[in-house]
Amino acid sequence: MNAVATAINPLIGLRLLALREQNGLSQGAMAEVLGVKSHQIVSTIEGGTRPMKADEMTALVKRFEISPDYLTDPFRLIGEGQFSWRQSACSGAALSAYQERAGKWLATYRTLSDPEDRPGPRERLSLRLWEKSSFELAMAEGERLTRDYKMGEVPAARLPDVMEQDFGILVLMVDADPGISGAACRLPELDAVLVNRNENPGRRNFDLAHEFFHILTWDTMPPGEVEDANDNGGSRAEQLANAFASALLMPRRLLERFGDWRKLGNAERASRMRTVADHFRVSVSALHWRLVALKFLNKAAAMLSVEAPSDAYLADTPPAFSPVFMTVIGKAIDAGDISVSRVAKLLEIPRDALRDLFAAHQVQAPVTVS
Amino acid sequence: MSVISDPVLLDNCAISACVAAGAWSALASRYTLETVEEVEREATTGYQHRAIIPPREFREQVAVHAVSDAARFDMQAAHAGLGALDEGERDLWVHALARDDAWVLCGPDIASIKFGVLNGYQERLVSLEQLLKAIGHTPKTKLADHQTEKWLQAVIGKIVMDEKFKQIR
Repeated sequence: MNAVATAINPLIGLRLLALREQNGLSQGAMAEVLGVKSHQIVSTIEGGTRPMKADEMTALVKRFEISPDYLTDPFRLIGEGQFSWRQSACSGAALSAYQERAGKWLATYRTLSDPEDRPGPRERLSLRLWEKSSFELAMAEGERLTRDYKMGEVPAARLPDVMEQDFGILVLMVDADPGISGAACRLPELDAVLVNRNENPGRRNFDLAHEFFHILTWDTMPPGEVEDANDNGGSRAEQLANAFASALLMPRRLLERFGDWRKLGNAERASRMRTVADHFRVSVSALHWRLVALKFLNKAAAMLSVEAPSDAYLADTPPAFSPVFMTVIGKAIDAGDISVSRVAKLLEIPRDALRDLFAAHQVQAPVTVS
Repeated sequence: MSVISDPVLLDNCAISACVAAGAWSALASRYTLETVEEVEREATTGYQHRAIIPPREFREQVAVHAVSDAARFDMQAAHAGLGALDEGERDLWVHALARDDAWVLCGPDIASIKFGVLNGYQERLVSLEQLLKAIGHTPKTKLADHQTEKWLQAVIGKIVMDEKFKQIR
């Protein structure tokens, strides 16, 4: 055998610590599980100064019924990260299973990206809002961001880029189970928003803006772990998030250009609703409530039945993940920090689809992706 | 170029590239090929949409080694770099690290190459092109860049330089 300096995988100690804390065990109790003499040995393993032996790892896997990779896989979240899921009629078990998958993508990005190279500011940006803030203030903040960050005529189009480049929030378009619209996630060193890319564009954009609010107000209004995407009421934080999202996607100054709404007949209003909703890439329902909030429509105005959006509009599905994410993946493959087959497995696509995924984001595919 | 007489350890990237180049039979007939069970599973099931070699044929051509959980744990406890590899690539290195005879390894993913270089095995790494050239076989299909000797040596050189710069910093 070649002479290889004895090293210690530092991840194993950290995972042992996380497992022990998750199970509320003392180091003494964990020593018994591992079959070692004292709690000090557990302490040295957790501290990364003594390697864990194979029989100790085997005992751990059996006792806690964990996957063998639990201790050594750098591309998964263990005992870290807070998620807030936006969903409808999704079972807890399905959400948990999906969270584990999503955690792999976030852990992959975190592990492979150099914090110095991540886009956006190093510090976290936040809004000066809390639960007692008014809806008017939440909407004003949404409008302000569209001006301050020059989000143009269609804020929805620029939103993912602004979130990533100006706020340092990773935005991932993902294939999610039906019923899961998206999630906001906070890790100690990273914020992320996941959006189900298979939702229609209007819903997708609203979810993104809504989760943006949660990220920006996480410290003062931590979102619930699970929220109902169809619930227009919900907690105060949810209502504020909806107000913020609608103002950000449909700022007053841009909506005003579409004229007076009150005097329109139903047919004319329905037609204009379709045109304006498509322009801003929002749902007709979101537009209706925004017009009511701005008093461009009476509260009593009926939600009209509006022609369905065009097939082309509905087929506008963004490629999976994001340019920022795929750039990190490409660099990591080139640097030998992850193998191509490992990437394919983590992203849940075959190797031969990887090249197309890089191309879809206009990121140069590494030479080994073939 | 002399034929390599040591056993050749292969991962599925190398195997599928060799099959795609129409050079598998030539390689299998001239070398002592060895691998691990996970790579065998990949090669005989079309893992990640790759070429399939019938299981019986594979067993006749390649010696397949089992990798126990205990052996894997032992190596993972000491080598964090194994976490960057897919299961077949990882198990192949777990097996290789435990051997005390001579062998060479053909695994063209940069992460696998990096693992080998950082653990002192750069002299044991071979390209598919080198293996085929040594037996005078010209593949029917041109090999991809990352199956060539020139590319392998460039990657090894870059990894070595990067490590030196890291040490200086």
